[in-house]
Amino acid sequence: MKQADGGLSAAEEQQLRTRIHRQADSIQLSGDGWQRIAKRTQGRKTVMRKRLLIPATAALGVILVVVAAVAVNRRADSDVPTAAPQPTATADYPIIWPQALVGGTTGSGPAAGDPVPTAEKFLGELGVPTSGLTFSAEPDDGGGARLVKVTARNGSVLGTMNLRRGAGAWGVQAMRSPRTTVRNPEPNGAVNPPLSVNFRTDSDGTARVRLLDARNSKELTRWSENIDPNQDWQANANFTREPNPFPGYLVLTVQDGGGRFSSVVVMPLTIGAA
Amino acid sequence: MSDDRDELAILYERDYARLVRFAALMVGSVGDAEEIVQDAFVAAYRSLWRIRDQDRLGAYVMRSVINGCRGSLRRKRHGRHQVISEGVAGPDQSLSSVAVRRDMVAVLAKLPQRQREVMFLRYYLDQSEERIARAMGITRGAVKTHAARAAGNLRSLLEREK
Repeated sequence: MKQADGGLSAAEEQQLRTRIHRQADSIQLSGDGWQRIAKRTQGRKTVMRKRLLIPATAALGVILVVVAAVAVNRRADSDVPTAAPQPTATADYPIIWPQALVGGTTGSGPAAGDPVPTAEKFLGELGVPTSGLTFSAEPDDGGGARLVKVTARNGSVLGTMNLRRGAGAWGVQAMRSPRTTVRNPEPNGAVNPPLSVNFRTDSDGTARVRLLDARNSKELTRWSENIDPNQDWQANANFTREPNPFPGYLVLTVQDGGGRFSSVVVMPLTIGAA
Repeated sequence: MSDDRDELAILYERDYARLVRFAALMVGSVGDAEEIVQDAFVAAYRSLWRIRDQDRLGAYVMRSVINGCRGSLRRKRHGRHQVISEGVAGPDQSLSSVAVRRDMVAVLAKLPQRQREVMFLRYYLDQSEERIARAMGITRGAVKTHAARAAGNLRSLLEREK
């Protein structure tokens, strides 16, 4: 008889149990199970060693994690030269390193294959003490360009950049949020380079950018200087046609009232990637 | 034989054969079942330094055996995971009318894996709902659900084979 809840009746359960037991108990075992287990567990020392080994390994792991954390902190500090220390040092402020910005995706943390010594060299040249800015990048509507937004620690947008690559690109871009400006596309006459940078600085005009070739520190664009906060600064990257994508850096700095750098972000990107 | 192996030997005497048979019901091969259970015992031996209680050790081995069966079935892709979606048999359909004359294990083998686990744990290893839940890593409610569905599916299967 079936039970109301859809389960089995007591009589059915007993029948089921009997049938399963009868069939299962007829299964013949090899008979050497214990010998095989004993062979694989030979030597009590294994257990004793594990008793000591596991806590010791755990302790060692904790030590290594602590050491690694200290090393990472020091490394993070070392990425920011202290030649001109600022009272508002923001070493703990996260820097977003979009990977392969052009044609790539964004992500946090150092980019894969990031040539750190080159980045440090740039930073050393700049003598910049700290980083208080972040980059975020997103593709434009057509997917052919990347809008880069630079945000200060307090959330204010210091500047936006628009990068575009590809043969036939005129290097004139439509700026989007937060300051929407559309400029009529005009040919710039250049077959090369395939990359242009548009930048609009913050209202004080203290932020500026330049693009560098990560392989040889060569400037691909000059610094964006003396630019009007109400207009886009635009520059074509100055390099000859490259058959393959290559690494570059977009460097953004902010200067204080005394002309000293107060912030810098070095963003690795892949130039020419499809 | 060391003390540790004595503990393992006690467990072996008590549980080994029925665990192998349980695993054999699950995976359909005595050879594979023996390997699975032996692996579980070796794993238990390695954990003896932290699991001294025989009851807990038994539960540990049972869970290892279930996991071993799942892994074996995944590897072999036995294709026994067919989902049975037909409705249950009518209320007057008693198992006794059909099943007792059939190979019940073969019928149970057609149930989805989790339902089979519940059925064999309950009706072969005679485990309580609580112990089944612990061994399978699910809640008691889920055990009840699997059991109810297994009963329904079992009825359907038996009805179809009638």
